[in-house]
Amino acid sequence: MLRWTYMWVFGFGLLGCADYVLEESAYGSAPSMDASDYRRLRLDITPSNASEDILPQSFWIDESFDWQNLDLSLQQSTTIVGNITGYTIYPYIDVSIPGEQVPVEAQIQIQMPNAINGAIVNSDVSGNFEIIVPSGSDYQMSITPLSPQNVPYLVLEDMRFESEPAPMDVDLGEGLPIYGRVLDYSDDRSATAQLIDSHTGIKGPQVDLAENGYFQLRAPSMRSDLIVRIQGGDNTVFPTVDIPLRLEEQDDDGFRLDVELGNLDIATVFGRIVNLDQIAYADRSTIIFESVELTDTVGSIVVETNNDLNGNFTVHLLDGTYKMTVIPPYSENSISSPTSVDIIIDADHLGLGDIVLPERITVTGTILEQDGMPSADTTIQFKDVNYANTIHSTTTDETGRFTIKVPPVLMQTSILPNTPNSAIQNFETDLRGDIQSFEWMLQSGQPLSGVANQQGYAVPFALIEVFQGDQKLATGLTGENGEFDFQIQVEE
Amino acid sequence: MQMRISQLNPAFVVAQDPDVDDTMQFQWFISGAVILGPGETIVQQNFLGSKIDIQQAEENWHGRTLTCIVVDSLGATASIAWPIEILEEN
Repeated sequence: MLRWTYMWVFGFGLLGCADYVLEESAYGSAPSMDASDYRRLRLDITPSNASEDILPQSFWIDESFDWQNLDLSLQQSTTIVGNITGYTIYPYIDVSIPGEQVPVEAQIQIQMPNAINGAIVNSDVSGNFEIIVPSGSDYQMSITPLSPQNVPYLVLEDMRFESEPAPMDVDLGEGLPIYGRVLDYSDDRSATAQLIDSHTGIKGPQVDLAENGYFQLRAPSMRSDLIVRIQGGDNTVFPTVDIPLRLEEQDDDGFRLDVELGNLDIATVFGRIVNLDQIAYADRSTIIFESVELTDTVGSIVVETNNDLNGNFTVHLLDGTYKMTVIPPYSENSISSPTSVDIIIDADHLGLGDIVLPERITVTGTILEQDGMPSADTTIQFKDVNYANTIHSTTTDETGRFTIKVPPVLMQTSILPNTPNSAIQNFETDLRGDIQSFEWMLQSGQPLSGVANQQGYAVPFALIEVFQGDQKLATGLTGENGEFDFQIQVEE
Repeated sequence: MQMRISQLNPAFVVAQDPDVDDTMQFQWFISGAVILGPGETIVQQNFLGSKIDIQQAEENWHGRTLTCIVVDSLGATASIAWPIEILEEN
């Protein structure tokens, strides 16, 4: 008999750190995480559907907190509604003819920097939107037009959203024109231009290049440090080029930028995926080519393709050096492993020959309790951090032993004890070498316990992830009463 | 479940087996498209969870379902599925 307890799916990225219950429980006022600040932890809490009205939130703790008696008070959600308009100029390239104020369909993102607090929604075609985020301050808000696209995007910082905020009527205005031409552009390859805010990384709309290579973007108001990104459409053989620019006050008529990319002649490259026995690999692998350096042009390029049933693949690239990665589809019983090779593409190197997928290897080991006794039912996870981040998992038997077949690649290894008096262990295992068997003794760590609540009510079955800098120390759950209790190994 | 192609899309489940001697295994997949694997195991007294981070959602997943199946050591299964909505991006 088996049943689901609680579950949660949440649509958007886990990004980082924050300060949430500043006034009510005095938790953290740490908007940014310094990697050298070893004794500061970020706790990301994602409620399950047992607490439907509570949104994911980040907390910060340092040594001034009682790590065994944490009181994580989650903020209530607040709903922001609004409407977006902008001034579109038409016809597109004749600015002497006036435009008009129009509703703008847009993507609205509210995000706390380096935190999981935030949300993304798309407005309707009339520009109306409704977005729900945890109450709080220090938010960034961005509005990126989807239609029409010849209006500026918007970046707002240090936003505070409390309960029942007034409706937002946002006028994107007409912005400052950033215009120019990609020289020698050929419209047989689709390409776009896009503005990126240097400070926040927030991106504006991607605008298609005209047939003659011209583009016109509209910079948001009050933002001076920008990047113009020229890039190809999906899987187009066209380099991605970032050009930083700084707008000065005297640029009020706009900013002209012409881009010369050099030689974009396409090379047709082919090869075959095989297994160790040189038999063609028939399953559909993902094959990714990431440029290291392009010979005749600037920027970078990433192209993805697949092999056919005979293992063959063909791909169009620009001359240069590449890292080629082959990732076979995941299957528990598969014997094939991902691999990567460095390749050179030029007129003399178009046939790549056979690319061999290595086989999985058998890794065995023993996990012991702190007293040296076998640790049964302990989970061991191997995550292939340089490929698809696939997790391979198994558990120890009653003698503390485990056996698992995994790819011979660099793995982020985690040992998850089934008792709370031992800490979760995280370490790297390089299975490309000779390590195929190991013994590990569990260790105690720093206790981390407390309760998650909202306005005094328990938040049960919530996901808690504990980070120290970029390193995830633990993943746990709150219990039925919002309580949590696990041990972590903090790097000193 | 809303997913964005350009960002990490996480999801998690929590399951309980009243027979404490049973072990549980999770498997995540996109219906008719791809097997995602067992996900990250979350060990908690009396409960077991699994978390998946979907890194490269694909446009053609729109309308499909994200499904998680849990199997215990006696072969009993339970599953849950969410319809996928790929959020339009610029």
